[in-house]
Amino acid sequence: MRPTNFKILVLAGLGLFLAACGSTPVLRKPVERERVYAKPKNKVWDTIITTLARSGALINNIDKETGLITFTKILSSGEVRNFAIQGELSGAVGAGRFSQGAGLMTILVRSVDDAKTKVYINGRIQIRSTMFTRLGDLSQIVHHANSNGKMEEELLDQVSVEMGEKSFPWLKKGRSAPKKDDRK
Amino acid sequence: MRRLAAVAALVFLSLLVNSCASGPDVRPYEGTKFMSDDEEKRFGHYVDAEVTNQFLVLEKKEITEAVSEIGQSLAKVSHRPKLKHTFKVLNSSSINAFAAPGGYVYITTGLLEELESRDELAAILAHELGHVSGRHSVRALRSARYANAALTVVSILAALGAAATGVPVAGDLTQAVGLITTMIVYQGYSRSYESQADRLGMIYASKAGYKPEAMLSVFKKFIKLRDEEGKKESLVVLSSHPALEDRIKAAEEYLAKLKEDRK
Repeated sequence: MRPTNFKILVLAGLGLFLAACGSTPVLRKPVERERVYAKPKNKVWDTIITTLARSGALINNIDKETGLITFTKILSSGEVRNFAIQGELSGAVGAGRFSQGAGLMTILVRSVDDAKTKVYINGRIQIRSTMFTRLGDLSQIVHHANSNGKMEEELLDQVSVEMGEKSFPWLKKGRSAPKKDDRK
Repeated sequence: MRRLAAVAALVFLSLLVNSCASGPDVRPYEGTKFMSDDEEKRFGHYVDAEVTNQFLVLEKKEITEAVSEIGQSLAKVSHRPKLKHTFKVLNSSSINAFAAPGGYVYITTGLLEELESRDELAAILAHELGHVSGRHSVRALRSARYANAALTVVSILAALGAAATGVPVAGDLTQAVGLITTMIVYQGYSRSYESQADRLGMIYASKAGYKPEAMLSVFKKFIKLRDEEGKKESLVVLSSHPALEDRIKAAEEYLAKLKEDRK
């Protein structure tokens, strides 16, 4: 085999290897990290605070005037898999034993006008893993992975439901919902 | 020879009586030796605590009361009418419904959003009540016990007893609660349990005055969602269930049988 061919083969092999390691999650639709609610800022703000508090989020900073909230949500290993970009996660977890996961999130609530409010949300996923060093000591490593947007979208959806933006009229006796295709 | 014939006759008679009494292959008291009704209820409280810690429980009365009203009407005609059933709506975009030990039934707002009638909701809730009647979670725990030596009957029941007296919860109970919660929320039951819950669901829906055919329209909806971009990942409800096409075929056959029986 000529050296040039060998180099191409090695490079192709390395490329395939890296592609496999950095596998990206299947995102079948665009990630939604912002939403406009047809409600005034006060109403949206109160609903977000109630939703966060009831879902067990640890609120780190909160400022109604600027509309800024930062919070931490402790995640199970299953939730970390669901909310983090998989390629980065596999590297992090592969380095040690999973001990704790958390979503470090930031929310910004801004008034569009008197009747509309826009909410932005974004964050990163933190994973703590433990491993033994070569000297036998237990060491803790902190990794960060990008969030895949599902955690953000889940919160935006929860707020929509809590504010009554999603209702189910067919639940009332004697009423049936319009066909799915007609709703759009 | 006469003795053998008598034994054979007794076996045949007991099989006949058993099949008449149990109806559509439901054995509500299967697994009671492993865990009594009272123990199941107590175990259910722990699983409910775990579920409501992971999910946001919806407090909108107009939605939760309507779901509960339909659920209670189905529970009354189920095989465990005396059990106190609790229906909760979880504010989550995942498309899911599940039942926990002790009569807890959960449905997500993500799934409600996909439904179009009270009959369809009744079909879903009735299916979950089929799991409650069949004591599927308890039976699944019993099977898991064989697979995991750490989960011994004695230790789980001892922990349940200790917890009732205020002693901190023992490790085996925590492990069992985690195991069952993961199974009911994310993994689902075995194919045979799911098939049984489908059949029971259609019976309960029919008895409570809902259209049992709605089970078919729900399955067809799930097929559509399964193939729809961006929805498949949210469809937790199907994670380990039998293939939808097979379930539709089985449900159609069972519905025909139900109609035949009614004549």
